[in-house]
Amino acid sequence: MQKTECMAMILAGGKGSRLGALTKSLAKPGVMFGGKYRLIDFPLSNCHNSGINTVGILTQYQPLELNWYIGNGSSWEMDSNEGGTFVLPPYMRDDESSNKWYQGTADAIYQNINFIDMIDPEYVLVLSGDHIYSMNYAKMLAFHKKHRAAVTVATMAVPWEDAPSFGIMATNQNMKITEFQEKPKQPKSNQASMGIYIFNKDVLKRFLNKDAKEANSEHDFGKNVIPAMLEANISMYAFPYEGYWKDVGTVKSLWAANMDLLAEEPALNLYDKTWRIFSGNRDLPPHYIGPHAVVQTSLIAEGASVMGRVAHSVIFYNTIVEEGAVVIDSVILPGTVIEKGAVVEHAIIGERCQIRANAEIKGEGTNIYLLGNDKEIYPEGNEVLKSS
Amino acid sequence: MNEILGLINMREDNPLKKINANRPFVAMPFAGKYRLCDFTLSAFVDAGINTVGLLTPIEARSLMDHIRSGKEWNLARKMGGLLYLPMDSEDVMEPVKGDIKALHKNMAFLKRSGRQYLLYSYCDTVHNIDYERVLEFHRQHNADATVVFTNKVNKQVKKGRVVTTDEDDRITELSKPKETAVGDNICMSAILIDRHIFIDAVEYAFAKDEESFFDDVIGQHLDNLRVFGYNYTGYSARIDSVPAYYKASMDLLDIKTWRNLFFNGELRIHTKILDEAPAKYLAGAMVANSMVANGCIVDGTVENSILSRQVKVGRNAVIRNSIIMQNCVIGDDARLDGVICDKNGAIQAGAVLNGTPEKPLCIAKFALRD
Repeated sequence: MQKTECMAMILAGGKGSRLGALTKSLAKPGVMFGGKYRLIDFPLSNCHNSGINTVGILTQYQPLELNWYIGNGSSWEMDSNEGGTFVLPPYMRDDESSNKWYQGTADAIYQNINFIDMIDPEYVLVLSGDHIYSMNYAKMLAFHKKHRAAVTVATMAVPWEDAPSFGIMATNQNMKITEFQEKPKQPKSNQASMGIYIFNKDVLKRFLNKDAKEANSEHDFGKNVIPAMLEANISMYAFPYEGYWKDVGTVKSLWAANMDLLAEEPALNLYDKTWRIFSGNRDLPPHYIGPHAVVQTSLIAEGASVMGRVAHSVIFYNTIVEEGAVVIDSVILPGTVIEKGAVVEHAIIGERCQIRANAEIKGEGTNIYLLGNDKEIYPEGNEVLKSS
Repeated sequence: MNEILGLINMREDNPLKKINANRPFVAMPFAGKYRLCDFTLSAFVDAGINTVGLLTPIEARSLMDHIRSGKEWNLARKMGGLLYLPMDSEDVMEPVKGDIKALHKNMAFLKRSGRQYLLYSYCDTVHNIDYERVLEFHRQHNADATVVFTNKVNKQVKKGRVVTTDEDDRITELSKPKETAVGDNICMSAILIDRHIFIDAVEYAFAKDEESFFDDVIGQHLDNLRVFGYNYTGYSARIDSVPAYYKASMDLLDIKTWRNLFFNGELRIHTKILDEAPAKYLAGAMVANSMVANGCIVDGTVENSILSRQVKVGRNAVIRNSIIMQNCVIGDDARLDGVICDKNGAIQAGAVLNGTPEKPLCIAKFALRD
């Protein structure tokens, strides 16, 4: 078995509290997107496509559904003899004082240093489990090696006016990071950190050990570890990424990211045969479009049946849109039924919902109507939990 | 269901040579994302059968590329799983009629199994049989063998073995393949049989130079074997000609049929996974009464048609009553009616192609295209 040069650690314990009902019993990386995906499909597929096949997945908040989805990693071809996916929840130790939940992104990795030691790679790639993007980490690693960096941070240009809400990396001409500004009022650059890091393993270990002893630290990469490394003059480079990247923190941004896919040539190309986004498989037939259906500017997944009208929407698998039903500017998650004459506009509808005949659900403007899983809506407008 | 050993015979004459002569019949694409063999194989594994032998045909490349380790059917196992039973040089050089010789050659596979039953089937029929029910029926009738038949055969089917049963479901007659009439009980070329009886019968038939298991063994021993007929009432379509293939495909464009075949209780049809994105409909899409697989991008009109994975339909293109297979590109303003277009086809912008249900226009597979 070959030695692992680079392994990935995916931070997948986040709650995503601004996603409301969608993350009530599901960690944010498990949130569904784009007709068949979950957010974690993107980092996992990027890993597979970049040739990284040893991946630790750090879970904490509501891990059940996510663990079930990841399984043995076979959906992303991680079920090989060399490597695999390893779900890493917080665990108990001999020393009771250190028995605690992951305190921050850095602490989550720190608590799993023994796992990294077990794999013993030269480089550790740290990723978030809930970003939507296609990125070749192999290119980032080549950049890291070329610059003989100890740390490489992926960055992307953001509009200057948005820069104050990001972690900003100021660099010299060679992309060496000279200063890190966390949410600066006066940004020195518009290159924002994407929360994607490559560390030389030894450097990572040294600084995580140090950070763990800091009583005042929030044990966060962006807030604590990266600044401490810069302070210590560690050679740190910015890898500029160009392309689609989104951290969907809110219902509105999740909705907007779905709508982004409906452009004639979206920035995120899900049809690229050289960079497939893999996902869990469900053995469903091609979808069926009925004789009187009208479907335009939409994504429709397998196993769905559409008899009514769907415009500018994303329809997940196993969804039923009955005759005379109308779905506009909406995202319908799997297993939901939109009955005859019902209207859904400007909404995200959860899994296994039943929108009863002639009921209407409408959001408006920046106010996206969000309906949680397993709900029923009647024409009178009241939400009811579906009795199972 | 671990009492059943599965055996699938994929060495069938190809009635679809007009669509594609190079691909074996059982690897023929069907219903947008499947191959004909998926239906039989899926029914086997969904009944819990975990050891399946495949008598593979002469041109096995596309079939093996499709099934590979059998992972998608849960057959990549340490114990049992999938076993390819390929042809040997004699099978290739001196082809014989019927299946007895092939079965006899693979006796080791049949003998070393400890299973009580053997489920033996061809792949010429699209169906979603629940074999757990067949086993239950088999046991209730204390049968030596149970033959699955259907009386819902569409009239495109030309020939079949007609099954006659008595009031206790026991088969009194199994005809040789002959002209059939609508309403006949047609044998679906699937039989659940006691494994020891099967072995003895094949050895006996081989010694007597007989050819066909169904015709020469089962059909001739209805007096001394307890052979029963299981009436399968779900969706089924025998594919024995290009029009039958076309008709069976078009039948799926009825939502009831689509549901019956693909969502029969817990049973699903498994196939090779390609990880395609959901189908995308652009502003110019006008789609009605059609089945569309993942990975398609549609900007034209599609009516009464089936689009397989990765099909691109150009702006203002019109596709009617057609079957478009994987990775085809239909150029802008092209007009297709009654066409079966095999994989990787590239239809030029503005092209006009017409066929009829009785004589669909068949466009052969393009070997190479990105």
